[in-house]
Amino acid sequence: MNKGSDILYPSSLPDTAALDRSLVFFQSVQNLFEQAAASQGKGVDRFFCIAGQRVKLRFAGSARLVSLARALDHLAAAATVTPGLSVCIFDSAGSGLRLPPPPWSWNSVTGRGDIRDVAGNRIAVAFQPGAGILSLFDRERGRALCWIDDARRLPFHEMATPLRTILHWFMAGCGKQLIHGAAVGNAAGGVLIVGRGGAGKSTVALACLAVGMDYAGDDCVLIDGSPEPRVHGLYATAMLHLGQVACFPRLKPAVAAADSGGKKKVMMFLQPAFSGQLRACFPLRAILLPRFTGRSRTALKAASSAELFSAMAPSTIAVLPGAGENDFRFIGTFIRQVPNFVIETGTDMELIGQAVAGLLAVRC
Amino acid sequence: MTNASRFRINQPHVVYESFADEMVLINLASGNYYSADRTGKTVIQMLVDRGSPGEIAAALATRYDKRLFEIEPPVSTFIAALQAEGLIVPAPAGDSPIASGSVPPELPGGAAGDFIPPHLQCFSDMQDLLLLDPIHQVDESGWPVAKADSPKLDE
Repeated sequence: MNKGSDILYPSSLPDTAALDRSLVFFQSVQNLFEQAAASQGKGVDRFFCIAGQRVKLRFAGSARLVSLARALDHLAAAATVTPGLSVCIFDSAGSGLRLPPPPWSWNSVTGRGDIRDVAGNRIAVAFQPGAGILSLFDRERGRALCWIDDARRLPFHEMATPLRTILHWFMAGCGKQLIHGAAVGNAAGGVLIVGRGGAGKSTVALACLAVGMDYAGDDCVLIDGSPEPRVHGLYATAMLHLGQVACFPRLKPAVAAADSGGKKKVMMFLQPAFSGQLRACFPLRAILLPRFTGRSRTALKAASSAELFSAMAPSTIAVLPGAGENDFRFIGTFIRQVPNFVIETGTDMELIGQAVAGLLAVRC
Repeated sequence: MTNASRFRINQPHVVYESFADEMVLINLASGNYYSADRTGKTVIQMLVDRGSPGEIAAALATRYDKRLFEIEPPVSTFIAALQAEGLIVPAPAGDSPIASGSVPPELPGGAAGDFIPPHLQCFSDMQDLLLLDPIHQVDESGWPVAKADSPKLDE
Protein backbone atom coordinates (compact mmCIF):
# COMPACT_ATOMS: atom_id res chain seq x y z
CA MET A 1 0.00 0.00 0.00
CA ASN A 2 1.82 3.06 -1.20
CA LYS A 3 0.72 6.59 -0.90
CA GLY A 4 1.84 9.85 -2.33
CA SER A 5 1.80 13.18 -0.64
CA ASP A 6 -1.06 15.60 -0.80
CA ILE A 7 -1.04 19.21 -1.65
CA LEU A 8 -4.53 20.33 -0.87
CA TYR A 9 -5.01 23.36 -3.01
CA PRO A 10 -2.67 23.40 -5.98
CA SER A 11 -3.36 26.71 -7.63
CA SER A 12 -2.20 25.46 -10.99
CA LEU A 13 -0.27 22.67 -12.62
CA PRO A 14 3.44 23.23 -13.17
CA ASP A 15 4.01 26.73 -11.90
CA THR A 16 7.72 27.16 -12.43
CA ALA A 17 7.88 30.64 -10.99
CA ALA A 18 6.11 29.55 -7.79
CA LEU A 19 8.39 26.53 -7.45
CA ASP A 20 11.42 28.74 -7.98
CA ARG A 21 10.21 31.10 -5.26
CA SER A 22 9.73 28.14 -2.89
CA LEU A 23 13.20 26.78 -3.70
CA VAL A 24 14.83 30.17 -3.22
CA PHE A 25 13.04 30.58 0.10
CA PHE A 26 14.06 27.06 1.18
CA GLN A 27 17.69 27.81 0.34
CA SER A 28 17.65 31.12 2.17
CA VAL A 29 16.30 29.43 5.32
CA GLN A 30 18.94 26.70 4.91
CA ASN A 31 21.63 29.42 4.72
CA LEU A 32 20.30 30.96 7.92
CA PHE A 33 20.51 27.59 9.65
CA GLU A 34 24.14 27.20 8.56
CA GLN A 35 24.84 30.67 9.94
CA ALA A 36 23.20 29.71 13.25
CA ALA A 37 25.17 26.45 13.40
CA ALA A 38 28.47 28.21 12.61
CA SER A 39 27.88 30.77 15.34
CA GLN A 40 27.52 27.97 17.91
CA GLY A 41 30.43 25.76 16.93
CA LYS A 42 28.89 23.38 14.45
CA GLY A 43 25.61 22.43 16.08
CA VAL A 44 24.47 19.08 17.42
CA ASP A 45 23.77 16.09 15.17
CA ARG A 46 21.50 13.23 16.29
CA PHE A 47 20.59 10.09 14.35
CA PHE A 48 17.49 7.91 14.58
CA CYS A 49 15.94 4.89 12.95
CA ILE A 50 12.22 5.61 12.58
CA ALA A 51 10.00 2.96 11.00
CA GLY A 52 13.06 1.55 9.27
CA GLN A 53 14.18 4.92 7.89
CA ARG A 54 17.41 6.65 8.86
CA VAL A 55 16.76 10.18 10.03
CA LYS A 56 19.32 12.84 10.89
CA LEU A 57 18.43 15.82 13.06
CA ARG A 58 20.80 18.80 13.05
CA PHE A 59 20.27 21.30 15.86
CA ALA A 60 21.67 24.81 16.05
CA GLY A 61 20.52 26.30 19.32
CA SER A 62 20.07 25.97 23.06
CA ALA A 63 19.73 22.86 25.18
CA ARG A 64 15.98 23.49 25.17
CA LEU A 65 15.97 23.22 21.38
CA VAL A 66 18.06 20.01 21.40
CA SER A 67 15.68 18.55 24.00
CA LEU A 68 13.13 18.24 21.19
CA ALA A 69 14.97 15.01 20.34
CA ARG A 70 14.22 13.54 23.76
CA ALA A 71 10.88 12.13 22.61
CA LEU A 72 12.78 10.11 19.99
CA ASP A 73 15.70 8.99 22.19
CA HIS A 74 14.51 5.37 22.26
CA LEU A 75 14.98 5.23 18.46
CA ALA A 76 18.55 6.56 18.51
CA ALA A 77 20.78 4.98 15.87
CA ALA A 78 24.37 5.08 14.70
CA ALA A 79 25.50 8.01 12.58
CA THR A 80 25.12 7.66 8.84
CA VAL A 81 26.24 9.79 5.92
CA THR A 82 23.19 8.85 3.86
CA PRO A 83 20.05 9.47 5.93
CA GLY A 84 16.73 9.21 4.12
CA LEU A 85 15.67 12.40 5.84
CA SER A 86 17.84 15.21 7.15
CA VAL A 87 16.18 17.93 9.25
CA CYS A 88 17.88 21.19 10.28
CA ILE A 89 16.32 22.77 13.38
CA PHE A 90 16.97 26.24 14.82
CA ASP A 91 15.17 29.07 16.53
CA SER A 92 15.27 32.83 16.32
CA ALA A 93 15.42 33.37 20.07
CA GLY A 94 18.61 31.31 20.34
CA SER A 95 20.31 32.41 17.13
CA GLY A 96 19.15 36.00 16.96
CA LEU A 97 18.52 35.43 13.25
CA ARG A 98 15.29 36.53 11.57
CA LEU A 99 13.70 34.69 8.67
CA PRO A 100 13.56 36.32 5.24
CA PRO A 101 10.13 37.59 4.14
CA PRO A 102 7.89 34.67 3.15
CA PRO A 103 6.90 34.24 -0.51
CA TRP A 104 3.22 33.80 0.41
CA SER A 105 0.49 35.96 1.88
CA TRP A 106 -0.72 35.31 5.42
CA ASN A 107 -4.38 35.36 4.51
CA SER A 108 -4.15 31.79 3.22
CA VAL A 109 -3.07 29.92 6.39
CA THR A 110 -5.43 27.34 7.87
CA GLY A 111 -5.77 26.50 11.52
CA ARG A 112 -3.71 23.35 11.05
CA GLY A 113 -0.93 25.22 9.25
CA ASP A 114 -1.53 24.76 5.51
CA ILE A 115 -0.40 27.64 3.37
CA ARG A 116 -2.81 27.44 0.49
CA ASP A 117 -1.01 29.62 -2.00
CA VAL A 118 2.21 27.63 -2.03
CA ALA A 119 2.09 25.90 -5.40
CA GLY A 120 3.73 22.72 -6.61
CA ASN A 121 4.49 19.38 -5.06
CA ARG A 122 8.21 19.50 -4.47
CA ILE A 123 8.41 21.87 -1.51
CA ALA A 124 5.93 21.30 1.32
CA VAL A 125 5.41 24.21 3.70
CA ALA A 126 3.41 24.61 6.89
CA PHE A 127 3.31 27.29 9.54
CA GLN A 128 1.78 26.82 12.97
CA PRO A 129 1.17 30.33 14.28
CA GLY A 130 0.31 29.24 17.84
CA ALA A 131 3.56 27.36 18.32
CA GLY A 132 5.62 29.62 16.02
CA ILE A 133 6.92 26.72 13.93
CA LEU A 134 7.73 26.82 10.24
CA SER A 135 8.23 23.44 8.55
CA LEU A 136 9.71 23.05 5.08
CA PHE A 137 10.34 19.79 3.25
CA ASP A 138 12.05 19.24 -0.09
CA ARG A 139 10.58 15.95 -1.29
CA GLU A 140 13.16 15.48 -4.01
CA ARG A 141 16.19 15.75 -1.74
CA GLY A 142 14.79 14.36 1.53
CA ARG A 143 15.81 17.55 3.32
CA ALA A 144 13.73 19.51 5.77
CA LEU A 145 14.00 22.67 7.81
CA CYS A 146 12.26 23.42 11.06
CA TRP A 147 12.42 27.00 12.27
CA ILE A 148 11.00 27.83 15.68
CA ASP A 149 10.35 31.34 16.89
CA ASP A 150 11.39 30.62 20.49
CA ALA A 151 12.09 27.07 21.67
CA ARG A 152 11.41 28.18 25.25
CA ARG A 153 7.82 28.98 24.32
CA LEU A 154 7.04 25.66 22.62
CA PRO A 155 3.73 24.20 23.80
CA PHE A 156 3.79 20.89 25.62
CA HIS A 157 2.33 19.06 22.68
CA GLU A 158 5.22 20.10 20.44
CA MET A 159 7.76 18.76 22.95
CA ALA A 160 5.85 15.46 23.19
CA THR A 161 5.39 15.01 19.42
CA PRO A 162 8.19 17.02 17.78
CA LEU A 163 8.57 17.38 14.01
CA ARG A 164 5.38 15.43 13.32
CA THR A 165 4.50 17.55 10.27
CA ILE A 166 7.85 16.88 8.60
CA LEU A 167 7.78 13.21 9.59
CA HIS A 168 4.27 12.92 8.14
CA TRP A 169 5.43 14.34 4.80
CA PHE A 170 8.55 12.19 4.69
CA MET A 171 6.90 8.95 5.79
CA ALA A 172 4.09 9.40 3.22
CA GLY A 173 6.74 8.95 0.55
CA CYS A 174 7.86 5.72 2.26
CA GLY A 175 4.36 4.19 2.22
CA LYS A 176 3.68 4.93 5.90
CA GLN A 177 0.95 7.02 7.43
CA LEU A 178 1.22 9.09 10.57
CA ILE A 179 -1.90 8.55 12.65
CA HIS A 180 -3.48 10.35 15.55
CA GLY A 181 -3.63 7.33 17.80
CA ALA A 182 -1.94 5.23 20.47
CA ALA A 183 -0.49 1.72 20.24
CA VAL A 184 0.38 -0.97 22.76
CA GLY A 185 1.08 -4.67 22.50
CA ASN A 186 3.06 -7.69 23.55
CA ALA A 187 4.83 -10.61 21.91
CA ALA A 188 1.54 -11.57 20.20
CA GLY A 189 1.26 -8.26 18.37
CA GLY A 190 -0.31 -4.92 19.03
CA VAL A 191 -3.47 -2.86 19.00
CA LEU A 192 -3.99 0.61 17.61
CA ILE A 193 -6.18 2.85 19.78
CA VAL A 194 -7.95 5.64 17.91
CA GLY A 195 -10.39 8.42 18.71
CA ARG A 196 -10.76 12.15 18.93
CA GLY A 197 -8.96 14.14 21.59
CA GLY A 198 -10.32 13.18 25.00
CA ALA A 199 -11.65 9.83 23.82
CA GLY A 200 -9.42 7.94 26.25
CA LYS A 201 -6.55 6.79 24.03
CA SER A 202 -3.89 7.71 26.59
CA THR A 203 -5.82 6.10 29.42
CA VAL A 204 -6.00 2.76 27.61
CA ALA A 205 -2.38 2.95 26.44
CA LEU A 206 -1.02 3.84 29.88
CA ALA A 207 -3.22 1.27 31.61
CA CYS A 208 -1.62 -1.34 29.36
CA LEU A 209 1.88 0.03 29.97
CA ALA A 210 1.24 -0.07 33.72
CA VAL A 211 0.40 -3.80 33.64
CA GLY A 212 3.64 -4.56 31.78
CA MET A 213 2.61 -4.43 28.14
CA ASP A 214 4.81 -2.86 25.46
CA TYR A 215 4.21 0.67 24.25
CA ALA A 216 4.57 2.42 20.91
CA GLY A 217 2.93 5.79 21.58
CA ASP A 218 -0.12 7.55 23.00
CA ASP A 219 -0.83 10.31 20.48
CA CYS A 220 1.00 9.79 17.18
CA VAL A 221 2.18 6.53 15.64
CA LEU A 222 2.98 5.34 12.12
CA ILE A 223 1.11 2.59 10.31
CA ASP A 224 1.68 0.65 7.14
CA GLY A 225 -0.27 -2.11 5.48
CA SER A 226 2.37 -4.03 3.61
CA PRO A 227 3.43 -6.84 3.88
CA GLU A 228 0.99 -6.96 6.80
CA PRO A 229 -0.72 -4.29 8.91
CA ARG A 230 1.87 -2.92 11.29
CA VAL A 231 2.23 -0.05 13.70
CA HIS A 232 5.54 1.73 14.25
CA GLY A 233 6.42 3.55 17.45
CA LEU A 234 7.38 7.19 17.10
CA TYR A 235 7.42 9.12 20.37
CA ALA A 236 8.23 7.64 23.80
CA THR A 237 6.06 10.22 25.49
CA ALA A 238 2.60 10.42 27.00
CA MET A 239 0.27 13.22 27.99
CA LEU A 240 -2.17 12.71 30.83
CA HIS A 241 -4.65 14.90 32.66
CA LEU A 242 -3.26 15.95 36.01
CA GLY A 243 -6.17 14.32 37.82
CA GLN A 244 -5.42 10.94 36.26
CA VAL A 245 -1.80 10.67 37.40
CA ALA A 246 -2.91 9.09 40.69
CA CYS A 247 -4.49 6.24 38.69
CA PHE A 248 -1.03 5.21 37.45
CA PRO A 249 1.35 5.25 40.43
CA ARG A 250 3.81 3.01 38.57
CA LEU A 251 4.31 5.68 35.93
CA LYS A 252 5.31 8.47 38.32
CA PRO A 253 9.05 8.12 37.54
CA ALA A 254 8.28 9.14 33.95
CA VAL A 255 6.50 12.40 34.78
CA ALA A 256 8.67 15.20 33.42
CA ALA A 257 6.64 18.37 33.68
CA ALA A 258 3.20 19.71 34.37
CA ASP A 259 1.47 22.18 32.08
CA SER A 260 0.64 25.31 34.00
CA GLY A 261 -1.73 26.40 31.23
CA GLY A 262 -5.42 25.75 30.98
CA LYS A 263 -5.15 22.10 29.92
CA LYS A 264 -3.81 20.82 33.27
CA LYS A 265 -1.83 18.00 31.74
CA VAL A 266 1.41 16.30 32.63
CA MET A 267 3.99 15.13 30.13
CA MET A 268 5.85 11.87 30.58
CA PHE A 269 9.08 10.76 28.97
CA LEU A 270 9.05 6.97 29.07
CA GLN A 271 12.72 6.66 28.15
CA PRO A 272 14.67 5.59 30.19
CA ALA A 273 12.28 4.52 32.99
CA PHE A 274 10.30 2.19 30.69
CA SER A 275 12.90 1.53 28.01
CA GLY A 276 12.32 -2.23 28.26
CA GLN A 277 8.69 -1.75 27.23
CA LEU A 278 9.22 0.62 24.30
CA ARG A 279 8.65 -1.15 20.98
CA ALA A 280 9.64 0.10 17.55
CA CYS A 281 7.15 -2.07 15.64
CA PHE A 282 4.20 -4.44 16.18
CA PRO A 283 2.21 -6.54 13.77
CA LEU A 284 -1.27 -5.13 14.26
CA ARG A 285 -4.04 -7.44 15.52
CA ALA A 286 -6.92 -5.03 16.15
CA ILE A 287 -8.00 -1.40 16.19
CA LEU A 288 -9.81 -0.16 19.29
CA LEU A 289 -12.07 2.83 19.89
CA PRO A 290 -12.32 3.68 23.61
CA ARG A 291 -15.63 4.54 25.19
CA PHE A 292 -15.71 5.31 28.89
CA THR A 293 -18.59 3.67 30.72
CA GLY A 294 -18.05 4.57 34.37
CA ARG A 295 -18.48 0.92 35.34
CA SER A 296 -15.66 -0.99 36.99
CA ARG A 297 -15.07 -3.64 34.35
CA THR A 298 -13.90 -3.25 30.76
CA ALA A 299 -15.56 -4.95 27.81
CA LEU A 300 -14.78 -5.32 24.11
CA LYS A 301 -17.43 -5.25 21.40
CA ALA A 302 -17.08 -5.65 17.66
CA ALA A 303 -17.39 -2.35 15.79
CA SER A 304 -17.87 -1.37 12.18
CA SER A 305 -15.02 -0.12 10.03
CA ALA A 306 -17.02 3.05 9.35
CA GLU A 307 -17.31 3.83 13.06
CA LEU A 308 -13.57 3.42 13.57
CA PHE A 309 -12.81 5.33 10.40
CA SER A 310 -14.92 8.29 11.57
CA ALA A 311 -12.96 8.33 14.81
CA MET A 312 -9.57 7.96 13.15
CA ALA A 313 -9.44 9.73 9.80
CA PRO A 314 -10.85 13.21 10.54
CA SER A 315 -8.88 13.62 13.76
CA THR A 316 -5.70 12.57 11.93
CA ILE A 317 -6.26 14.81 8.93
CA ALA A 318 -7.16 17.73 11.18
CA VAL A 319 -3.70 17.84 12.78
CA LEU A 320 -1.51 17.20 9.75
CA PRO A 321 -0.88 20.09 7.34
CA GLY A 322 -1.14 18.89 3.76
CA ALA A 323 -3.17 15.81 4.67
CA GLY A 324 -6.11 15.07 2.40
CA GLU A 325 -7.41 12.52 -0.05
CA ASN A 326 -4.38 10.21 -0.06
CA ASP A 327 -4.40 10.03 3.74
CA PHE A 328 -8.17 9.40 3.75
CA ARG A 329 -7.77 6.54 1.27
CA PHE A 330 -4.77 5.06 3.09
CA ILE A 331 -6.62 4.98 6.40
CA GLY A 332 -9.75 3.56 4.73
CA THR A 333 -7.80 0.74 3.12
CA PHE A 334 -5.83 0.05 6.30
CA ILE A 335 -8.81 -0.06 8.61
CA ARG A 336 -10.46 -2.79 6.54
CA GLN A 337 -7.41 -5.04 6.99
CA VAL A 338 -7.75 -5.34 10.76
CA PRO A 339 -10.61 -6.34 13.11
CA ASN A 340 -12.25 -3.33 14.78
CA PHE A 341 -13.58 -3.10 18.32
CA VAL A 342 -15.05 -0.62 20.76
CA ILE A 343 -13.34 -0.96 24.13
CA GLU A 344 -15.79 0.05 26.83
CA THR A 345 -13.38 1.16 29.49
CA GLY A 346 -14.14 0.89 33.15
CA THR A 347 -12.69 2.57 36.18
CA ASP A 348 -10.36 -0.29 37.15
CA MET A 349 -7.18 0.46 35.18
CA GLU A 350 -5.76 -3.02 35.67
CA LEU A 351 -8.82 -4.56 34.03
CA ILE A 352 -8.28 -2.38 30.95
CA GLY A 353 -4.80 -3.82 30.47
CA GLN A 354 -6.09 -7.34 31.05
CA ALA A 355 -8.85 -6.88 28.47
CA VAL A 356 -6.37 -5.78 25.80
CA ALA A 357 -3.95 -8.58 26.65
CA GLY A 358 -6.85 -11.04 26.50
CA LEU A 359 -7.83 -9.77 23.06
CA LEU A 360 -4.27 -10.19 21.80
CA ALA A 361 -4.14 -13.72 23.16
CA VAL A 362 -7.24 -14.58 21.12
CA ARG A 363 -6.22 -12.75 17.93
CA CYS A 364 -2.59 -13.87 17.61
CA MET B 1 -32.40 23.14 -4.55
CA THR B 2 -30.63 23.90 -7.79
CA ASN B 3 -32.15 22.96 -11.09
CA ALA B 4 -28.89 21.29 -12.11
CA SER B 5 -29.62 17.93 -13.64
CA ARG B 6 -26.39 16.23 -12.62
CA PHE B 7 -23.81 16.71 -9.89
CA ARG B 8 -20.25 15.82 -9.08
CA ILE B 9 -18.36 15.57 -5.81
CA ASN B 10 -16.85 18.94 -4.91
CA GLN B 11 -13.23 17.90 -5.38
CA PRO B 12 -10.55 18.59 -4.29
CA HIS B 13 -12.23 20.01 -1.18
CA VAL B 14 -14.32 16.89 -0.52
CA VAL B 15 -13.00 13.38 -0.06
CA TYR B 16 -15.01 10.32 0.88
CA GLU B 17 -14.69 6.67 1.77
CA SER B 18 -17.39 4.01 1.36
CA PHE B 19 -18.04 1.21 3.82
CA ALA B 20 -20.64 -1.55 3.82
CA ASP B 21 -23.40 0.44 5.51
CA GLU B 22 -22.10 3.97 5.48
CA MET B 23 -20.13 6.60 3.65
CA VAL B 24 -17.84 9.04 5.48
CA LEU B 25 -17.13 12.37 3.78
CA ILE B 26 -14.96 15.29 4.81
CA ASN B 27 -15.13 18.81 3.46
CA LEU B 28 -11.65 20.20 3.87
CA ALA B 29 -12.84 23.68 2.96
CA SER B 30 -15.44 23.90 5.72
CA GLY B 31 -13.81 21.61 8.27
CA ASN B 32 -16.96 19.53 8.66
CA TYR B 33 -17.17 15.79 8.22
CA TYR B 34 -20.23 13.68 7.57
CA SER B 35 -21.72 10.26 7.82
CA ALA B 36 -24.26 9.17 5.20
CA ASP B 37 -26.33 6.09 6.00
CA ARG B 38 -26.73 3.16 3.62
CA THR B 39 -29.42 4.78 1.50
CA GLY B 40 -27.49 8.05 1.51
CA LYS B 41 -24.34 6.25 0.44
CA THR B 42 -26.25 4.73 -2.48
CA VAL B 43 -27.63 8.10 -3.55
CA ILE B 44 -24.14 9.66 -3.43
CA GLN B 45 -22.68 6.77 -5.40
CA MET B 46 -25.36 7.26 -8.05
CA LEU B 47 -24.61 11.00 -8.13
CA VAL B 48 -20.93 10.16 -8.62
CA ASP B 49 -22.04 8.02 -11.56
CA ARG B 50 -23.79 11.16 -12.89
CA GLY B 51 -27.30 9.99 -12.19
CA SER B 52 -29.74 12.91 -12.07
CA PRO B 53 -31.93 13.35 -8.96
CA GLY B 54 -34.95 12.26 -11.01
CA GLU B 55 -33.19 9.14 -12.27
CA ILE B 56 -32.03 8.25 -8.77
CA ALA B 57 -35.50 8.62 -7.28
CA ALA B 58 -36.99 6.55 -10.10
CA ALA B 59 -34.40 3.78 -9.59
CA LEU B 60 -35.07 3.70 -5.84
CA ALA B 61 -38.84 3.63 -6.42
CA THR B 62 -38.38 0.60 -8.65
CA ARG B 63 -36.09 -1.14 -6.18
CA TYR B 64 -38.49 -0.63 -3.27
CA ASP B 65 -41.66 -1.04 -5.26
CA LYS B 66 -42.82 2.41 -4.20
CA ARG B 67 -44.58 5.25 -5.98
CA LEU B 68 -42.26 7.99 -7.19
CA PHE B 69 -43.97 10.64 -5.06
CA GLU B 70 -43.02 8.66 -1.94
CA ILE B 71 -39.35 8.52 -2.81
CA GLU B 72 -38.69 11.81 -4.56
CA PRO B 73 -39.11 14.23 -1.59
CA PRO B 74 -36.61 12.58 0.78
CA VAL B 75 -34.12 12.07 -2.05
CA SER B 76 -34.46 15.72 -3.09
CA THR B 77 -34.07 16.87 0.50
CA PHE B 78 -30.95 14.74 0.88
CA ILE B 79 -29.39 16.01 -2.34
CA ALA B 80 -30.20 19.58 -1.34
CA ALA B 81 -28.42 18.98 1.98
CA LEU B 82 -25.36 17.62 0.15
CA GLN B 83 -25.31 20.72 -2.00
CA ALA B 84 -25.89 23.11 0.91
CA GLU B 85 -22.96 21.55 2.75
CA GLY B 86 -20.73 22.02 -0.27
CA LEU B 87 -20.26 18.28 -0.76
CA ILE B 88 -21.55 18.27 -4.33
CA VAL B 89 -21.65 20.87 -7.08
CA PRO B 90 -23.48 20.93 -10.41
CA ALA B 91 -21.71 18.90 -13.07
CA PRO B 92 -20.72 20.68 -16.29
CA ALA B 93 -23.52 20.97 -18.82
CA GLY B 94 -23.56 18.01 -21.16
CA ASP B 95 -22.24 15.52 -18.58
CA SER B 96 -23.91 12.21 -19.21
CA PRO B 97 -24.34 9.18 -16.94
CA ILE B 98 -21.21 7.05 -16.57
CA ALA B 99 -23.04 4.03 -15.16
CA SER B 100 -26.27 2.20 -15.81
CA GLY B 101 -28.30 4.35 -13.42
CA SER B 102 -29.68 1.31 -11.62
CA VAL B 103 -29.49 0.99 -7.84
CA PRO B 104 -26.34 -0.84 -6.71
CA PRO B 105 -27.21 -4.41 -5.66
CA GLU B 106 -25.76 -3.95 -2.16
CA LEU B 107 -28.82 -1.88 -1.18
CA PRO B 108 -31.53 -4.38 -0.26
CA GLY B 109 -34.85 -3.64 -1.85
CA GLY B 110 -38.25 -5.21 -2.31
CA ALA B 111 -38.73 -8.07 0.08
CA ALA B 112 -35.19 -7.71 1.37
CA GLY B 113 -35.77 -4.38 3.04
CA ASP B 114 -37.93 -1.30 3.44
CA PHE B 115 -36.98 2.05 2.03
CA ILE B 116 -35.24 4.12 4.69
CA PRO B 117 -34.94 7.80 3.72
CA PRO B 118 -31.33 8.87 3.17
CA HIS B 119 -29.77 10.65 6.11
CA LEU B 120 -26.71 12.85 6.44
CA GLN B 121 -25.14 13.48 9.83
CA CYS B 122 -22.75 16.42 10.20
CA PHE B 123 -19.85 16.67 12.68
CA SER B 124 -18.17 20.02 13.23
CA ASP B 125 -15.71 19.26 16.02
CA MET B 126 -12.68 19.49 13.69
CA GLN B 127 -13.76 22.75 12.13
CA ASP B 128 -11.43 25.00 14.12
CA LEU B 129 -8.40 23.09 12.91
CA LEU B 130 -9.24 22.97 9.25
CA LEU B 131 -10.61 26.44 8.66
CA LEU B 132 -8.59 29.48 7.74
CA ASP B 133 -7.03 31.05 10.80
CA PRO B 134 -6.35 34.61 9.67
CA ILE B 135 -3.10 36.14 10.82
CA HIS B 136 -3.77 39.78 11.54
CA GLN B 137 -0.46 41.13 12.68
CA VAL B 138 3.00 40.74 11.17
CA ASP B 139 6.24 42.46 12.13
CA GLU B 140 8.44 44.57 9.86
CA SER B 141 10.10 41.43 8.44
CA GLY B 142 6.72 40.06 7.34
CA TRP B 143 6.32 37.33 10.00
CA PRO B 144 3.45 36.95 12.48
CA VAL B 145 3.95 38.62 15.81
CA ALA B 146 4.16 36.13 18.69
CA LYS B 147 1.31 36.28 21.15
CA ALA B 148 2.38 38.12 24.29
CA ASP B 149 0.58 35.63 26.53
CA SER B 150 2.48 32.57 25.26
CA PRO B 151 3.92 30.65 28.22
CA LYS B 152 7.70 30.69 28.39
CA LEU B 153 9.50 27.62 29.67
CA ASP B 154 12.71 27.90 31.63
CA GLU B 155 15.96 26.68 30.14
